Amino acid sequence: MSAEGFLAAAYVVLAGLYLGYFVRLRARRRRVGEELARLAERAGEGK
Amino acid sequence: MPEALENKWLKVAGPLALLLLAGGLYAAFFVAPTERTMGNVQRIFYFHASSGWIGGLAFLLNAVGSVVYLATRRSWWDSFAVAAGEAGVVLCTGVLLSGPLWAKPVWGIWWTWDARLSLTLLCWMLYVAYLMLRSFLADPARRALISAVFAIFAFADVPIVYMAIRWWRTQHPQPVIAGGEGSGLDPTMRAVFYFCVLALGVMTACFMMYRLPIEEGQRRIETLRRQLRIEEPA
Repeated sequence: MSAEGFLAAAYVVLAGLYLGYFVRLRARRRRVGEELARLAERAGEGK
Repeated sequence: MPEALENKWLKVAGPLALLLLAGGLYAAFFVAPTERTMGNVQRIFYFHASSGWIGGLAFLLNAVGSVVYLATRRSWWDSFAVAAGEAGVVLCTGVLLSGPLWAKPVWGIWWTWDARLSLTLLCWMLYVAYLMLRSFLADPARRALISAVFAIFAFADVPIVYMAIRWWRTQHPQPVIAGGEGSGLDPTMRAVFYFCVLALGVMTACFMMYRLPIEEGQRRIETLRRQLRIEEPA
């Protein structure tokens, strides 16, 4: 692989890592939000 | 989405981070001059080294959060610590992945067990252990206490990672910023580097703004689950 290939690979890896973490955070936030709303409703706090 | 999981600052910080990251990428590829000996592959430096700096800062915030938690026992500081610690692990992973992709074309090897590289790997392992430790402890107060103590010990590695290339002769390049006499960086390269540090700093702040309310929400879920078990008829 050429030096430019390694450069491109490094930036693709970094972008994938940071974007991947962000997407994972969004999914976790949605899951926690749904669970929290469900439990709050069961506990009578959602009314 | 419950209001507790929202963060109004993200509406500003999110687009700002994207804008700065795009600007940083543009500057790294089109503004920074080509390095004489390494050529274009040196452009990895702008996001590799800045990931290391901001990763170190995130670990510092993790240690600060842990110390304040131990002093105050306010759970918010435990959430702050875990948000910073997790962001630090992500950034440190970025350093450990982009480093070998720079090393191979320049040194001819992917990895060597020199002081800087080995200590960075050790640092990553310590903070992964911190996150794993948290997942093994069910009781929230015990989890926060034990992981705070662990985090303070883990942080001892961070300044050694920073100083490794100053204290020992390593395969890893000697410092080009704050490296003392004989070290230095082209002014345009330095400006681009600081811009990338800022971009990754804002990105990391966004990660923490997302992660912190999630931890708080999970703690609330644990409390509600306990309450429901008590209130549920036998």
